[in-house]
Amino acid sequence: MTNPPPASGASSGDLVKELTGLRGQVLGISESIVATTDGLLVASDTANVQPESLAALSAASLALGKRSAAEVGLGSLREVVTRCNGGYSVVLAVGEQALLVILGDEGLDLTALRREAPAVVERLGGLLS
Amino acid sequence: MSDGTQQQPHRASPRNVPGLLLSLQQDRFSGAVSIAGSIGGTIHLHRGTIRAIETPGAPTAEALLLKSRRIGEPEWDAACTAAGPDGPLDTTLVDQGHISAAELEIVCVGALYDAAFVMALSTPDSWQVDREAPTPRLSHREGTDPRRLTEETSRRVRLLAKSLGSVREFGQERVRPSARATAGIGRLSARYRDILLSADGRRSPRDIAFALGRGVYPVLLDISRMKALQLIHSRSPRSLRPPRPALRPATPAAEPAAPPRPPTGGGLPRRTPADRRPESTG
Repeated sequence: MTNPPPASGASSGDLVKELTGLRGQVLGISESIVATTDGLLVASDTANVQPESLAALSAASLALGKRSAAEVGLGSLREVVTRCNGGYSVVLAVGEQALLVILGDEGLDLTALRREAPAVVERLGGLLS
Repeated sequence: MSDGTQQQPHRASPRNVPGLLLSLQQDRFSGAVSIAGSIGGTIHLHRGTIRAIETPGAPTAEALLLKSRRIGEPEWDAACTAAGPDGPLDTTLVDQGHISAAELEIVCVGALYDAAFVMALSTPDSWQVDREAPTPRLSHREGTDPRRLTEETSRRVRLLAKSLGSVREFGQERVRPSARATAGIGRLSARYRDILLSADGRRSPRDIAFALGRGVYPVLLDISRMKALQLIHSRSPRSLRPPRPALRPATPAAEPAAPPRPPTGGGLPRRTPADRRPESTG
């Protein structure tokens, strides 16, 4: 996975294009954001959620997931999935300094998301580097 | 009867999913068929009849019940607990008085036909037959004849094609209300109003169905009628563009403490000591 050092030339439009593209590719994605691991919003494709709040909470949940994974010795963290009655929140690390958050409805195609996400994460990492 | 645990090859390799289902009906097959494709899913069969279909393309019976609020989340959770991991959830829901047996049956059959309709809108890449797949907790107990399901699915596609053209393409388009609909929304039926309020230009008919707890086919049917009345516009998902500036405040009225900074030249935004507010002294 690409580590995103401080960004030098990425356009926020390119980041959002990746997010909207992913929404078009995977059934059930409703909103998504890119944030830093310390919880600051970088880019968003949202309609209903507060992206700044989502960025802060998701950074905390990713950090908690990483610590938990390390504590229980189950290997490195792949994703943090929160399943609710009305849908899903999925948090994925983008290198060491950023993260991708995806919100989806009850029908979110997790199989397709897991197929498509690695390439998107890599491209986001490249845009942020 | 061919119920068993060993996987057996079928007489001839079916050319399509309806053919496969007919073949499985002849074998009185019990198990599941997993379909891979742009709209994949799992078809559950019992002795050759179809009991349920799970697909990301259409709401399940559970999603229909919860999202439409026919059953509340606490009641649902309580029924799941009472039924246990392998118990009859449908009977428990009825026994606890959350829904009548007839209504539950209608919802399960509706979800089944809706899922079949949605899956018919994509071409499957491959399929896999699995005798050991767990059955969904809510299903059409009697089971549906595959031929009848195929016929009804074809009828639905034909009906929609008359007004929408390619149903497959329209099913992926994003819809939004027209100016005419916005101006006269108060005079429309509650069903149309709900769809218009959900159609934000980001959602496809499938997304609206999930948001409202309705089937995709009935939503598409309503949208096709609303389109004829010029109440709704649609656009191809290929034209997806950022709906608004990416790095905007969440709400125009809100005053964000520190608006996010674009990663252009200055690196990723970072928290600095200046971002942290001094602790209150009371």
